[in-house]
Amino acid sequence: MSEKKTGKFRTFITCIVLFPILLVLKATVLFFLLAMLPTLVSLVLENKYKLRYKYKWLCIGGMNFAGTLPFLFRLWFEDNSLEGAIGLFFDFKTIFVAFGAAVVGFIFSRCIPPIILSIVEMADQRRIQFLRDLQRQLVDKWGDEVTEAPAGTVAASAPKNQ
Amino acid sequence: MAELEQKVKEATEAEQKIAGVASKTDNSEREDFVAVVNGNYRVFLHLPLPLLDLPNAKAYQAEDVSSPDRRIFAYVCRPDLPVRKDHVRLRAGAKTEGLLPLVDGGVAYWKPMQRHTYFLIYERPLGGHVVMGKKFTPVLSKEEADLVSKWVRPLLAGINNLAVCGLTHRSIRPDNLFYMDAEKTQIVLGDCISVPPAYDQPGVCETVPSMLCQPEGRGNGVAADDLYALGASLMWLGLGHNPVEGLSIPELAELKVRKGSYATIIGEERIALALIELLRGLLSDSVEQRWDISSTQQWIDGRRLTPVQVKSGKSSQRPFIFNNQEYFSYRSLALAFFYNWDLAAEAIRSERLMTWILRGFEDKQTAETIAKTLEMAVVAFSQKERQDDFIVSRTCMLLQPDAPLHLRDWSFMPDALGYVMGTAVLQDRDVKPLIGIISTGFLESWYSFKNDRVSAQQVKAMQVTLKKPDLGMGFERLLYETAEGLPCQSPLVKKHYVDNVRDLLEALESVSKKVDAKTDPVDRHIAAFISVNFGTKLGEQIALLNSPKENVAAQGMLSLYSTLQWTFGPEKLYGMCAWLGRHIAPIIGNYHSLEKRRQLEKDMPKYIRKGSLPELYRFLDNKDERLSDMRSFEQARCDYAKISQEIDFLDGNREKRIEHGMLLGYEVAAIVSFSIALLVMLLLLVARFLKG
Repeated sequence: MSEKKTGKFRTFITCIVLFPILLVLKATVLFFLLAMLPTLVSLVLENKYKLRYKYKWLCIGGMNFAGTLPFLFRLWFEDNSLEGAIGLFFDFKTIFVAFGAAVVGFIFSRCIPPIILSIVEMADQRRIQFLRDLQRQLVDKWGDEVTEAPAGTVAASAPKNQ
Repeated sequence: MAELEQKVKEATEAEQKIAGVASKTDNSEREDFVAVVNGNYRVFLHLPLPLLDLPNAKAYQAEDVSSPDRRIFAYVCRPDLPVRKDHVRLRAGAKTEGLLPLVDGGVAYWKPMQRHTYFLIYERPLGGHVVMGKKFTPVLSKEEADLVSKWVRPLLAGINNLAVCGLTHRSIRPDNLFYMDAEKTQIVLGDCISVPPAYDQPGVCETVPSMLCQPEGRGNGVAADDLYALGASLMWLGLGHNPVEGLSIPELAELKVRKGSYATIIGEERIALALIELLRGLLSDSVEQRWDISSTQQWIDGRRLTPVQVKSGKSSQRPFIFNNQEYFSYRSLALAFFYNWDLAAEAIRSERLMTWILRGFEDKQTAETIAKTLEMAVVAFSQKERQDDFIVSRTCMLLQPDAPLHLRDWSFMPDALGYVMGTAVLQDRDVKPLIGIISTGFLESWYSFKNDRVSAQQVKAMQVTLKKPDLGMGFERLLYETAEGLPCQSPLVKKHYVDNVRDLLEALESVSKKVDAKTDPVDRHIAAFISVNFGTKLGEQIALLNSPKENVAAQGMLSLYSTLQWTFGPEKLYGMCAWLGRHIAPIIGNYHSLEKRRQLEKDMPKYIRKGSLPELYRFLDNKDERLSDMRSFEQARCDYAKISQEIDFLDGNREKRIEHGMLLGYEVAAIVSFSIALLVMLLLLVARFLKG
């Protein structure tokens, strides 16, 4: 009961804070919503299809945001009105840059994880090799008896020759 | 036995041969014919003293190195007979009235036997034997009978002095009496130590129970047995001959049982009146009625006592016919069973015996006990022969309570168990029947009939010891526990006559130079000998010896011998170290570190060459190092286990690792995206700032 009450209270506070901002910064909000559409779509799709890794929207979002920022600056320092925001957005250059950056973000989300995975696997293999060497050193020092598990633990396997 | 006699004969011939050679050699070369006992007494092989010989111990001229004027001689004991070490322990060096003074006793190498044996050093009786041979001129003639009390006094003093020490002589007979002085005024009892108690005694000098025993099984007995022998000896000295000389032991025993000892021995012989009362008192067949030391002393002092009225045992009016002979008393029938073992079982099983006991003696208790024995035999033994043995043995015990424990060829008083076991082992006889006597209830029965619960309990403890198969236990332990001072019977040191644990290592050291290095340095006899003679301090080492683990057993062996060397010396044992070195390699396995093992293997020969077992032991079994090694090993095992777990995690769980890699990849991608965004923001802010 108390958790529900706390949640409602938070939503209420958020609305009270955001509503004035929305009223004051309606041009910025409108432009931002339009320019960040790829990120929103990505977020909705990830939530809808319950994808395993919910990081794609963040990759797209980060790049999308980077592409949007120069135009957001222009809006703020040149024509900060609803018309100006709409006009700015529908400029081909704006769409190309903001959405193109989102596409780059998408490419990041597709390319970087396999690269990192390969790096992790390589590190794992090197670590395994290192550990096996350590085990071999222990066997050389103490004999095969060292491979027997201490009392109260499960027996460990002897190192494989590689 | 014939084989044994042959051996003795051969040894005697060899001895005579060597004595002949010695007499022809120069003085300087005669050292080869000298045995040195305890480093102080020289026994001369080429100077035999046949006039002092005993049936089983030859006498030789000896010299006390520290006091050359002292007149001493030595008896060379037979190595195949146990020596009475309790006498040596209590009498050596002490002059006791009435006894041939024992100077010392010890082990030395004896050339004729080509082995070590035991020597007894006595002061020399200058007057020689009182009598020689079996027939002689009567020493106590009728005219001199009045002087008998003066003459008997020292002998009684000898018996009394032994009794005070808890000892008995058991070798009192005319040819074992000596005059200590050349004037032949001081009479003493001769040696009784060189053979088991009463081993050389003729039947006439022994009571019926003692006569029925095998020679080594007569036991220490009590002072009353000595007094009986004293009485018989006085009679013999008075007559100048043994009146029952021609009788065999069974015939003499039968006569003694039937007529009584006094009547049997004296018979129709005429002896001094003064002796009659004394002999009646001393030759009584009942221990309770026999004169004791104080009664005899009173008689010597002139007090005349009431003559002993010999009460014959209870007899039946009707006879029991056994082996075509008629028997009227329990004792005579028991004796008949004793000598007709195979026929006895059938007679006991028959109803006739029960009827005879019940009608002739109205002895319901004995009849019931025999019936119970028959039932017990069926329960305890499956073979009929064994059942028969049990039945006859127990019935003999029942009918003649003072008789020895008898089982076919074995007949001994239970207090002689140590001597019987010792003799059997020394003479390489089969000891299985003896083990059977102890473990299957014969010995227990003997004590039970005497209501001796303490001894019966001790027998139970013996049975437990016998059943244990471990080193330091079993028959061997029992052997050394019951036979005091028995030399170690290990085949390794048997010829060295090691009767003291102090001398064991020296004997093994000399053995080590000839023995095959693969031979195990510890066997059942050595383990039992050490554990009995060293006390309980080596219990831990003996327990280690029995470990199934090779390294632990080797550690026990090294610890055992190093403790002995540390306690008794000698300082250097090069041969032993080299011999043990072949057997202690498994101890290195106690260390887990291979490097440490290699180091130990490399350094071990250096320590072996030092000849010190304690040092070798400390080198191989340094407790601090072993503890540290063990700790490090445990740590290494834990480390190994942890590493294995990590390898399993990294290598054996690919799906999770891929998931982890992908997750990390997405995180990196997100971070890269946002980093670019932040960078762009920063650049824009900087550009705007620069524009103004």
